[in-house]
Amino acid sequence: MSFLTNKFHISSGQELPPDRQALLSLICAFFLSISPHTGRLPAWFALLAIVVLTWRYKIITANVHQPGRFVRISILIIVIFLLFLHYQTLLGRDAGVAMLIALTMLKFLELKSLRDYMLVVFLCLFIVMTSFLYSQSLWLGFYLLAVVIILFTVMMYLNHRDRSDLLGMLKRAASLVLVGLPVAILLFVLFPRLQGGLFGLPGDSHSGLTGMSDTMKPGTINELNLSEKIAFRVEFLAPLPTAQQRYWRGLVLENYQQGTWKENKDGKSTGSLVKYSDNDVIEYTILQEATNKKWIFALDIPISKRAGLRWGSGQTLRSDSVMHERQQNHIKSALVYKFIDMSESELAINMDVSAVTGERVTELAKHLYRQSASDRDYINKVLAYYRNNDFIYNLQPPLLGEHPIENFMLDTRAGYCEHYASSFTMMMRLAGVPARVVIGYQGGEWNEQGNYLIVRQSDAHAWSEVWLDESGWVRIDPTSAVAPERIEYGISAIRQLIEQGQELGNLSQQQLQTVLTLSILSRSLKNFKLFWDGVNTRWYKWVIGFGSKNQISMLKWFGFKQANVRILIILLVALVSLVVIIQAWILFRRKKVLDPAVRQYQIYCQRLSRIGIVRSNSEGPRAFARRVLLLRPDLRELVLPVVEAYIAIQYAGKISNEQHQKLIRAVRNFKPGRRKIALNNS
Amino acid sequence: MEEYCLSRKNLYMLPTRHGFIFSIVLLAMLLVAVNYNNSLAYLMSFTLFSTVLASMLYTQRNLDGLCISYGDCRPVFAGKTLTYTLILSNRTKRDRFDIGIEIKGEQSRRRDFSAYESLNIECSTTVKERGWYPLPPVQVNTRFPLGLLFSWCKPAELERKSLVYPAPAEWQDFPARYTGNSAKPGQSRSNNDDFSGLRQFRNGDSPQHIDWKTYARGKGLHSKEFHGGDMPQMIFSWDDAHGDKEQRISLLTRWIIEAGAQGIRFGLDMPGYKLEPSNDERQVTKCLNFLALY
Repeated sequence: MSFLTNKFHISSGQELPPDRQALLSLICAFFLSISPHTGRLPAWFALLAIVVLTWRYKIITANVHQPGRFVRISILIIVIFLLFLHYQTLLGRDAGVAMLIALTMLKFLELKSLRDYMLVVFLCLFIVMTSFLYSQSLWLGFYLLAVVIILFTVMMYLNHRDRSDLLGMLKRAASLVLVGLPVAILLFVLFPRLQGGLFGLPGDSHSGLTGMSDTMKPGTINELNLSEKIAFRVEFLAPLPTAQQRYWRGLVLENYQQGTWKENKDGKSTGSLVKYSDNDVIEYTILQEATNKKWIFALDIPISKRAGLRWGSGQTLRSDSVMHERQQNHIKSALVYKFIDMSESELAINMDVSAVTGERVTELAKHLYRQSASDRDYINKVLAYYRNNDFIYNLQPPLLGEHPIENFMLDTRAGYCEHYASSFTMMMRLAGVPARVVIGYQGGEWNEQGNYLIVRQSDAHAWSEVWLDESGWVRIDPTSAVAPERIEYGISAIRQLIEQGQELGNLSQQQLQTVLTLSILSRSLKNFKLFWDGVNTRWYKWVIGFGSKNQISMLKWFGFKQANVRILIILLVALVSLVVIIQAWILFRRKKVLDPAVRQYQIYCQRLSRIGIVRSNSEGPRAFARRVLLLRPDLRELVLPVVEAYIAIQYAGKISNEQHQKLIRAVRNFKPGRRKIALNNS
Repeated sequence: MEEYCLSRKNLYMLPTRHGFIFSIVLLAMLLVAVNYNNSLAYLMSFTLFSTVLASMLYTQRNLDGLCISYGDCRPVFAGKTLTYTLILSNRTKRDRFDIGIEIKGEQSRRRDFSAYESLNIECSTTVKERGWYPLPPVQVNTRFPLGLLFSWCKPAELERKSLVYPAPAEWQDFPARYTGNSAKPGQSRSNNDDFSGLRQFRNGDSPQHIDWKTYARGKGLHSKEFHGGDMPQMIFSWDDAHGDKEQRISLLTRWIIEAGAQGIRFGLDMPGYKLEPSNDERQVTKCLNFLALY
């Protein structure tokens, strides 16, 4: 390695000291890098940034002294102390990011050499990366890609001798990233991904998620969660289920105590509890947003589960681990099914009415049951009771008092799905019919562009299941008795109808159509939203959600029998080298003639060879010209300018454009005819 | 070798100090990405890595195809300043950025090259010893585009030498056997010489021999030719000079220069080398070449 010790291998001898513009561009790049974080940082950061960066700018413009080591370290200690006060820790994601930003800011105070400037650029790149720990949206991705290109431009700017052509540098930085893109994509797809982290995640890594709760207490909250946030998206392999079939099962609540419905913790089942025919099975892929919970939502009755999932009580699905991230599951469900017999203890729980208070409601149930011929008839009687007694579907119902079921059934008679599911289930139990509550989602919006169904938080729903001896658990949705529009058109239609003061339950088809028809503007807005959601969904599916599972299925798809890390690495190395070799070949390809003067001279020789005078390889321009003139004295006026101009260029140290033009003109004029030879010879 | 063109055969590349720091930052990013299993953090680390990989190609390409050659270089006497021209030419359509040029004994330069641009660098160096003086090696380097990688060329391969004549000694009289009828140098000698005619001026002719009268008549430059009728014919021999080897060579050099300037027919008689007397214009060069390498 003698070249390493070469005396010429200078490392820093000719670095340029960064100037004021370099500092300004660095400050701009810094602000662009931290901008996604600004809302999360303590407020005093703004003050710190203004003080530090103004100070720094003054140092360079107004010759203020650069702070000494003592001052810098004091500031650092104060900042760290303040950070600790704010976060109560210096570890973890939030405090770590704040610390990184603070340190970068303080680094501005000691900027001196090129190395300091470069270091700040590197720190900015790191800060950019930390933004992704908070959000991985498409917009943020694009924005930060632009910031990365700007940071590369700053790097170029700092290193470049001639600092005038900023736009050219931006272009070069962008093309550099673009040239690198194929390798980046290969790495992204083939770099072996671990399942789970290396060191475990700090506690603040997942926060601020909202979603469904695992208990239901009708009458305590007087406003339903109408968030437009997406709960999950579903792609179907088979045809789409109808609106009436779109019941997404989440949890089955069997315990009713003190007005609250809860899951029966003892009722964990170990296997599937239903019988079904293969014709009634529907397959779909569900992309569920992070919930920080374990439950998995599935259409109607799920019948299959993959590894990593388990059965919850009442034929529901659970994840083995808490879902901190979006999760994609491929599930099969049966739309027609029959539950097998249930155990004595299960039966007892589902008939438990010990928590129901109030005489009147018990009376009502008994009264209705006495009039019924069968359990099924009783169900219809109760549903008819809702329909015929001025029950209202209301998103802001009055609160229920001491006896919630009784108050609802006989007094307030206004509520949403939870009230109906809860009261209906209790009405069943009071008459001795086993019943339970299921919570989940109902409905969903079909995205034409993306061919998938969007289910939002506002689609949350609750309904009942009743045990009938001949058919097992049967789904009954009492809400549909009051507001069939809820099931048919979804919650957003309900909201519109309520806003317009329409009475639910007995609207004609035509009335509904006119009410629900959107204006062109809001329709196109809605379409755009759906389109954008489709783009986002693909983004999450193919980019954000990409992991080791996708890698394995991809390898299998490409026909690899085994799919393991070794194959990934071999493929990665091979393909990356291939891409780099191809890029190198394209970038280093040289035209056969490098020198434009040589190119012109070759045209001249070509024209001569066309009239039969061929230059031999050993012949210099002058010797060749002599021979040409010997053969064709008549060409003297044409040959000499070419040769003179060519020789002038060849021996000139610095070639002027003028000389080139001269040669090009001479060659253009050089058109030797064949005819004259014949004349001379004859 | 006439010309030294940079290609992957003579180009090397290593990360700069910034490059090393950057790779550490990159590794830290990858660790975060793995730990949080964060797709975009992965994608960003990979994008940065692949950009550096691409910049490797651009760094190399920035030098690839540049050609170094030396222009004219005239022999000088030892102790004088040797000037030579270095030609750095971009023979391609590509623009080159931030090319560093390192020549030993010269200040380092950095400049851009546009397409087909060729640069002449006038260099000078003081030479001390007679003989072949190898022109200092040239190294071309670049840190374009991001300053993370440093590429440079192997400098030794362009071997160009320049001849350095011995330093002439202080004036001493020609050997005693000739001094009898010879005047001191600088004195008019045209009276003693026989004018034999005019001939066309040739490069290298002494300006003292130019016939200014004909020039004034507008007939161009002509040199007067003399035939040393009574001009002595001198043969400088090794034994005529005194002192050690270098001193003798210096003295012989001085005599040859003077004799050449005066148009004296002279020859050289060295151990193992004998040059017949002549007043040919190339006689001086011949003798000096010989002495330079003796």
